[in-house]
Amino acid sequence: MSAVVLGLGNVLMLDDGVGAAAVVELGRRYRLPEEVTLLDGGVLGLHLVGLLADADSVLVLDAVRAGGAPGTPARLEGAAVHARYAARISPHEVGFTEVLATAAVHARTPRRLVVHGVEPERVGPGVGLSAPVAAALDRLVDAAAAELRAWGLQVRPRDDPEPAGPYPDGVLGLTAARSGA
Amino acid sequence: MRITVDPVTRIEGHLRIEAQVKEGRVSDAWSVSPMFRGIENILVGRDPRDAWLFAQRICGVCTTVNALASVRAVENALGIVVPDNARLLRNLMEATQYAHDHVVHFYHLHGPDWFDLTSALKADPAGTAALQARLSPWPQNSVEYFTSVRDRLKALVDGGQLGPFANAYWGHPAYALAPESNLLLMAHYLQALDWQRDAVRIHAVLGGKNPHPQTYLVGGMSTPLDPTSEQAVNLTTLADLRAVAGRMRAFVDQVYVPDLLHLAEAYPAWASIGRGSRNLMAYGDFPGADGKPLMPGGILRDGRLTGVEAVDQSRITEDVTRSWYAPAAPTHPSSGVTSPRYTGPTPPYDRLDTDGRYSWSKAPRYRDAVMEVGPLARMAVAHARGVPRARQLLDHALTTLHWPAPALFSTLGRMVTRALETQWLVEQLPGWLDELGANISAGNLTIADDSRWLPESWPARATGVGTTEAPRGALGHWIEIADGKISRYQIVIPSTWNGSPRDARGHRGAWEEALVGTPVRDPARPVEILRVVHAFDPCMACAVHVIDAHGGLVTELTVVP
Repeated sequence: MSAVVLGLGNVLMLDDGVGAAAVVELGRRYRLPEEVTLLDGGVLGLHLVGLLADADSVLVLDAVRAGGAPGTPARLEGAAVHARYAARISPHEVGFTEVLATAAVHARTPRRLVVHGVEPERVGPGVGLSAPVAAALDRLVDAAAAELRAWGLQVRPRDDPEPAGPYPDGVLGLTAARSGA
Repeated sequence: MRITVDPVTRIEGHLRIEAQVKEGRVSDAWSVSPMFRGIENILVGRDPRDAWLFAQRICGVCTTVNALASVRAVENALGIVVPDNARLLRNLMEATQYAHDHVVHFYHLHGPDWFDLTSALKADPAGTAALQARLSPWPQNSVEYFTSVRDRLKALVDGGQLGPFANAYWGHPAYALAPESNLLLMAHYLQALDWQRDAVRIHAVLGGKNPHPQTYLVGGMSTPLDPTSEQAVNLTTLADLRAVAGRMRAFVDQVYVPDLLHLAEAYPAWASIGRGSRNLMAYGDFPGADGKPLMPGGILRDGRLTGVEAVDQSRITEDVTRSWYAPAAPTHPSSGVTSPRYTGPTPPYDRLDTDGRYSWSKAPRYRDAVMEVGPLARMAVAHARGVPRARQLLDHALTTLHWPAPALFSTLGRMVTRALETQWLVEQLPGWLDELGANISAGNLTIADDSRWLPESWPARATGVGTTEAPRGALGHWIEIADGKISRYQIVIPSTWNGSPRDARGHRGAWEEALVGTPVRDPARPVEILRVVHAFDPCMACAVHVIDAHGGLVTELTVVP
């Protein structure tokens, strides 16, 4: 089985960056088996179709507007994902509806599709997560790990995770880019 | 009458077109960018060496070119010349992104404005196979193959799984291709997905990570080159990438370009629809070993394909007369400020006051003139500068299509030049890979100049400009560094040039101008407007509003074409 954990959203749009942050955090805190690919999809739109084409299962991490208090977790599965993205619950207009639809035309719809999200507080130009969303990040990451485990994947917490560093350095790849110099 | 088409593009972002239709033609148009993007303000106060990591996030699809423009701006400010290997790695990554982007644009984004899925279901697969054989020797061609594609499409339609095609304008009288041609293009639509998954490997291998590359660096690249390491780019890696490049080229030569010429022949009227402002500008890009760009920069004016002027970037100004910013005289991007002052209606709204300020986009101008940027500008400038391969490709296409040269200033002209520059660029990949291989073999593994890495080596104040030719057109980043930090940053993206609102003189932006005169057969289904706007490859999704002469709203519909 091959699984992709896909973070969606724009790091430059405040809470919209929570999906990307969660993907990076998942990799930092957990040891994942080889069949899992972490993908920071940003706001890549249709170009994502090719990156998801081989995935049997896709776990999306995203800011999800469902009308709850900021930081409220949400889980969607299967057809509900299609329905909710079509209704543009995701504030960044990533075009994920079109990604899913294009995948369907190519007969590449993943067998399993689950979204774990967090209700955003603020979405707009800027870098940083609001307090309720930042507080919900831990739970989102753990929920993602639990989801992968439920799929039968070996996901174990790392004994000695790298230090997190300030947001958004890890998400942007800033820490890695600096050490490469 | 007003019609809402939302969104026009199938990718991230926002864009709104208001088009006034009179007697079956667009009489006037307004391009509205309804979302404020304050990237410049995000960068102020940060370390200039980190700017590219932020910059590559401003647009979902233009990651590489924004990263590159950003590191070039800092290098320009600090007087850094990157080593030859960095030049080659950058060219390879950028050209790969071009090819990827242009193919996805044609088949997956723009194509459905021209080819009709429902018509493809009526095709005779034998006729499609014969057509394919006539167009090119592409091997994926048999009656059985096209029958299977037709059956698969039929199953999608019957199963109600039309996906991105669900709300397209099928059956619209503006669709002109024969069923056999539609089946061919739909088959290639499907093949393009596998093609792009292959092509993207070059970007992934050299960029370290996809889709957001991690190997740019102020001073060069961080892609490790080492003939003795499995973890680095070595001669085996280059051989793999050469094979990918060969497959990329085969598809572009035998599928993309012939498909586009075939489509162009079926839509002759579209070689005169969407003329636009007819001033073209390219910054130039893809530096050679001598520093000279493969694609030269230049400006062509008033629909002429000769008399190219050099670009003096200091003559660029941004006008905010009709934009939602604090009033200011037109300023060069290096001294520009981003002071939002929204005066439009509270969203969501039906109607904007297009007589006043109506866009978040500024209006960039070159010596007060509107400029169109993108493939048409690049190919026309290269042609005017006498670049042999560009002349050959463009002249051959004009002859094949029986087009006079002015036909290039059109919707089809933009599409054809996009395909031709893809062909030109994928032809360069093997040569750049060979140069990289020769450097590695000769022991030249230098990928960065780190002599100006430490802020202690920088002047107290420095300014710089970095440009690239993004797939969508000329892209510029302007930076000011003071005491080791970014004190000012301005970006002018290609869609700001092409999608700008009017300026102080009342001159329309490039695609506002291109829309004027566009025929609209059925204002409730304005596929013609989509064709004109999509041909510019806007980087934003867009909503189109069609207004009648009295400004009244008759219909509102939502379409994801």
